[in-house]
Amino acid sequence: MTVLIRAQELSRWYGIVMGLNNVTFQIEPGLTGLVGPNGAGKSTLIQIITGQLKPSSGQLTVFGLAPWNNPPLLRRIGYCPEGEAVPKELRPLEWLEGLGLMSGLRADEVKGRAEAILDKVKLPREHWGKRLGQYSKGMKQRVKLGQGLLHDPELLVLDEPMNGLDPMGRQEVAQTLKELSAGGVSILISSHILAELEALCNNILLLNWGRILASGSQKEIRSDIKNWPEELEIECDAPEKLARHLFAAGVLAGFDLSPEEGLLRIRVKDAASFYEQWTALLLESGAMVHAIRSRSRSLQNIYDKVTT
Amino acid sequence: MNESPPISSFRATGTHARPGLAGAFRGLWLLTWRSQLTLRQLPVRLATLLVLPLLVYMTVRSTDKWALRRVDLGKSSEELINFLQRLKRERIPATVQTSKALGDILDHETQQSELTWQEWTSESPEARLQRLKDHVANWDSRILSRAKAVLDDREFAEFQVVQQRHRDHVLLKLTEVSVPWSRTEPFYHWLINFYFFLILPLTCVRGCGPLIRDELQADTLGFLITRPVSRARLLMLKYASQVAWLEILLLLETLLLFAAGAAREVPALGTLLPLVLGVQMLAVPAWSALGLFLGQVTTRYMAAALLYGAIVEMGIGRIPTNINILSIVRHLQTLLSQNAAVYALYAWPSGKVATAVGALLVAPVIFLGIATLLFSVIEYHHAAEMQK
Repeated sequence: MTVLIRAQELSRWYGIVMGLNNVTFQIEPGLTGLVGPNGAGKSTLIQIITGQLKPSSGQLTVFGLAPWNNPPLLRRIGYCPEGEAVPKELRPLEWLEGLGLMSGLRADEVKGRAEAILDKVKLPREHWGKRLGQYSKGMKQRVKLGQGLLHDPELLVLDEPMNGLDPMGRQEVAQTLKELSAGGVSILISSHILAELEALCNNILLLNWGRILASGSQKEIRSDIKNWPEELEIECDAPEKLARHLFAAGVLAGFDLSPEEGLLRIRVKDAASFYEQWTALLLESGAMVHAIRSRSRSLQNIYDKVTT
Repeated sequence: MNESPPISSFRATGTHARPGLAGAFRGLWLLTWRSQLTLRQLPVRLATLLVLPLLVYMTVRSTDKWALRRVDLGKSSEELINFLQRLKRERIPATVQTSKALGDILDHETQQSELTWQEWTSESPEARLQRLKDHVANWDSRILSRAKAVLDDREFAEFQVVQQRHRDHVLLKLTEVSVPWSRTEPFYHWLINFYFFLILPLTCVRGCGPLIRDELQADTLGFLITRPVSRARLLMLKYASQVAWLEILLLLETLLLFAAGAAREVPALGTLLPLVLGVQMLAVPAWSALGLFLGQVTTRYMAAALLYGAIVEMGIGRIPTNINILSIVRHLQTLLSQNAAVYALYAWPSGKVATAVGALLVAPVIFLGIATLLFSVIEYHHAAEMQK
């Protein structure tokens, strides 16, 4: 498979502060999620990919080329930065027209293109006459996403694009990204909103403290972590009693109690062995069990495990 | 809401062509003027543009008022009191009749001399000064000759001392304390000293110094440097669009200044205006490039510009050797001296016009070159900028 982005022993330092620490990975075409808490190095990595920063050591290539000060490569990349920053005095069409001209759009096509983009990101037309400084966070996100799409990029890099969007807005952006991906645009998206990424991305890159913790498809990541402790949430009438019984049986690696909510969260040492005997263990405990949920199957859970 | 177009029809045609210089400039120019000319900012911009012309209008007297201007030859009553006190100290008796007669002479001659003085609108400051001295001398001699007729010898000797002191005081006030500006001189001082050599350079430095830093602080630089334009070209085009904006803004200011001058009937503005506009066209890119360069190396670019002004323009530029070629101000003075009125008023050291023009063309190239090199090599990013 073609490699879109390749990093080889890539490090980036800000003075004595570490941004990225000797990471090696590759990203293939498609929709890829970049997951990590604040300070994980997501934005640093994105800024290197979009040619805003240089690596301190190692190398990173996009489409086989180094991004720093590389206009031929940059015209294949679209970028939507994190945060709310937009030129406050400009109206969305003015901004997109200016950036469009800078991106190589012809003067006679730029206005139509900007309008099509604003429609595409579903910015209501009644707001087009307002200045960007008057926009809500969600509206700014839409315009920012639009400017990234102006020059029809092959790779779209989005830094936390869901921030500030309401659930409907997130759904719409996710739909737009899916359509773009289906149209052949590769997308790299960072987010804290893991539920959307899990549903959206084929591949995930887990980042923390400037290091890659796991990468690949969700299936591959799950496979990588199959030996991690299984975590279950049990809803019952006597969580303390059940916890004592399971602890005495020697199957627990740890547990959390929420007696008021009637919840017991357990981490088991050996999942396979536990599942063989768990029916008997629950019956012996005498607790009335209402529900059992595994908390190990979502990406959120994987993420929590690797970042705490 | 309108149905959004499907992705397949969403692709632009030919967008992968690298933006040409003109296209990229057009984009940056659009972003520049649209963000700086808004209805909200318009009142402030207009008020700022009108401050200097209003000052010109208020400080340059109309020809009518100028013609009615009077010279102040002091209070004759005070002079008479001084004289009487002096007689008392010297134990010389003074009669009431003598005092009254002398008082009448002083009042009459002073009043006559003040009324007969006339201002000439086209007179040079030097010629006016000489005429003023002659006028005071005539006033003095008439008083003395008439006083001699009513005073005895001892009284007249004492009066001569008092009158000499009074005359010297009046002359000092008229020639030194009150600066002997001609009617139109304030116009030139506002235009040249204040506007051309202070406001214009500071406006350019203030306009171009934060070109990159403002984007960094607003965290909007990423939108620009991720466009398919090289960093060097991006900075140069951003500079060019800002210079174009400043040229327009300062052209308006100059025209308003000249309009105020014309309203006050400052003569020969028709020959000065093209020269000032031409020199301004050269000055704006030079000062702007200096501002851009300083903005690239320090966040305190205004302070750095003032330091540069003190060291290079006011220090090195005034050294009477070839090293003063480094001074932008000196080259601007050479070009402005081509106007007879400016030359007569300032008498700056003369220089070659071709050298001055050449230097003003080379200066922005040097400053812009260094700034571009820095921008191409150094990473500027929001986080680092906000820590400063």
